[in-house]
Amino acid sequence: MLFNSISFLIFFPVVTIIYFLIPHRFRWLHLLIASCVFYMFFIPHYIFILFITIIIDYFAGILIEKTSGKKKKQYLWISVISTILVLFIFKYYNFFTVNFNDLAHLIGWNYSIQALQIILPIGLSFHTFQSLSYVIEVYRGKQRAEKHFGIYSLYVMYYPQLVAGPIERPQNLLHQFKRENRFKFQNFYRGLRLIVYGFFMKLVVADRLSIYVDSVYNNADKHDGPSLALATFFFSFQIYCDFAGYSSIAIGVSRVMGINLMTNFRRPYLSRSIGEFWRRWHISLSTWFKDYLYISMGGSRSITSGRVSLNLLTTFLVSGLWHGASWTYVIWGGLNGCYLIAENHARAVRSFFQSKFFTPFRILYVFVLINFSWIFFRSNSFEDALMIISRILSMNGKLFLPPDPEILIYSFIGILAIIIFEVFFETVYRKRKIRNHLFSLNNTFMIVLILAIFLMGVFDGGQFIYFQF
Amino acid sequence: MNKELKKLIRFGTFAIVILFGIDLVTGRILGALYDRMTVGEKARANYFIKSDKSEIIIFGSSRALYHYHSGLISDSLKMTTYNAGRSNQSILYHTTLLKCIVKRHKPKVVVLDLQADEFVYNRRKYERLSALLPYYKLDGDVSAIYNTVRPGYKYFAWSHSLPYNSSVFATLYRGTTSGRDNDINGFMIRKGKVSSALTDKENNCGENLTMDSILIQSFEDFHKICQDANIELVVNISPEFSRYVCERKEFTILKNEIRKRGVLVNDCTEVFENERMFADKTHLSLDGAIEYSNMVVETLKSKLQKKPE
Repeated sequence: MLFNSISFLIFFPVVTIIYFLIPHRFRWLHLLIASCVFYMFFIPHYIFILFITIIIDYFAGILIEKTSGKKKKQYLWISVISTILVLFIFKYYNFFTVNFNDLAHLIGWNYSIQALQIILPIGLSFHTFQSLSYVIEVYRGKQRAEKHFGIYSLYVMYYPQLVAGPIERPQNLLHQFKRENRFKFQNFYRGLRLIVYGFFMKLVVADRLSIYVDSVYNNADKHDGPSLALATFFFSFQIYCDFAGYSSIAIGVSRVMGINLMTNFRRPYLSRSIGEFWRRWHISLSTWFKDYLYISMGGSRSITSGRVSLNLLTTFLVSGLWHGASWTYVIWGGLNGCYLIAENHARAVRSFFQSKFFTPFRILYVFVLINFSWIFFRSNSFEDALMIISRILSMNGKLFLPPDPEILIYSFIGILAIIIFEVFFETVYRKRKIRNHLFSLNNTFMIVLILAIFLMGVFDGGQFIYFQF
Repeated sequence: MNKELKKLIRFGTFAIVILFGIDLVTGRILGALYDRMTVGEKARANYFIKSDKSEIIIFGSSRALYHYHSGLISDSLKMTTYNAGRSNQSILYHTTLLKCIVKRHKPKVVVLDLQADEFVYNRRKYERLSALLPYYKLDGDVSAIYNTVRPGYKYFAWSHSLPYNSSVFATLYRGTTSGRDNDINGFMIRKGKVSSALTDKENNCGENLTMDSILIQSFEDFHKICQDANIELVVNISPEFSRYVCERKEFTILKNEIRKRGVLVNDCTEVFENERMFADKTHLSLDGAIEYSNMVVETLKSKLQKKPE
């Protein structure tokens, strides 16, 4: 079920009202059933794949807690490998066969592996990582194994974050399902505000920008430098508003029920360094990789700076591969890893630019670098990405104007609104500089957003980009 | 009653009243401005739906809008002509428009200009039908067709401002400024010049294109309205500056589907080769439009001569 669908507009209030009406002891069951229904709106029988992951990691968690030493580690590995195997079959198997066959062809080996005719289950990477997070935390002794199978299933399947995160940690989420939540107006109000802002980001900005971005990037060879540059600029905001919008709705929906999910985005385009960008962008995934991969490899405590750089690069390459089974994602990840390594090696230069005077320039520098990396993320192929870069650098040719140029006006208005809101949140709201009339200000803000959704929203039921991951 | 619940009810009531109020006022203002527009495609559509009583009407996309010189056709045949072509629109839009106008006026001839990929599925064709939303509440046929292609809209039909979604700025600007459109009975001149020479295009043979039964049904409805109202229907596919070495399956299917219903299709895609006739690869220049309209006049003359009084 998509958040931006009619079904969800009915589903959400019904599920929430029943949640508060029934006794606490039945609420986990209610949420679990609701989550199953939510997931089965996509491809119903794929729910069994989810069950496989749940069963493996549920029993693994208990066994890991019960045992110690070598045996404990063995159970962890069995759990990690089998969970990743499911992900590999559905997400990476065909990527592997294509590359294997190409390599075999290159060395003159007349052998090829058949590709599988399967569709990637929606949000597979998200719930796989959430499930892995549980067994690793139990192994590390930071989380007790959950004995209640229903509550554990709900931890993996909790519908607001099931298909596109935030990827939660068991310490943050599991205990909240056991706590009795009473209806609180403040939770409802805060949740509603997040939901409205999320819909604004998705419908008014992301889906509007996607019209131009898709028409240019899907026919990249037919477009010149100016159009490709504009589409790349638009894509930076499209992907941000699409994903941050989804996260905002997810967090808001959960907040209404009194369950807090972690913040996933914190105004990333206002970052003053690449490192800061990655502390503000897709926080639940960045911290996942930091906690379970980067630190496991030694992190920044490694003996040599070369080793630290290697750890960073590996983490970002794997993160790229997590996003999609394509070399363009791997390059995107690698590029971001290289940015960070370069930034770490240029500490002296960074300290020179610390003063407030340079802040706008630093924000711009981060934006341009991240924008450049998005070219690989969005391009349909590696060859396309190279062609787009060369055309953007030459900047020859005409700017493509869509049949209805009003689309561009709405696109720029959407981007401008997001920039104003983000700067306001960062500089005024977050620092609590406004104390008086906060309630009225929030209400006016919500009314403006709702009106903007009605007048400028795109209601074509567009998918969320991160669903494919 | 629980204190928290009381707060929710108070907030909900205020929110609903304020939102409905703002929606109503915004919708009414935009509606009034929309009706005041005199320039642009929305203004032309508004005039056509509400007032036009021409004897010959041309329907189609931008290829109709820029190709059929309604002034020339009108003078040659001594029959009032209006070009109701609209950029990016498909058969869904044309059928809805025809349904709307036959209730108040029955034209004698309808020329329908179709594109080679007219019956190919493309979700954008459905989205663009939102151009008719300002008439959703005014005309039952508009709401019926729109509900078929976007079933979810009926749940939001209470909104007064939603019909003006994505046309706010055009409505505000055009509705508050006066002026005259430079159209000739709906016909617009396309400016531009083709830079490349006519070459064979090999890469677009449509092997993977999906036909859309809703679009085919929409053509059938269009044909039926013409039959029921005794309107002479002429189906044209106007010239383009591209040649295809391979068969375009979607084009063959289009022609077969139309012929199956006993309607003659005038395939004029390859009648011009001179680049002077074209403003771009898919649109005629003024010279091309005049030449092509003269050809259309001849077709209409023979049709009208055959037609019993």
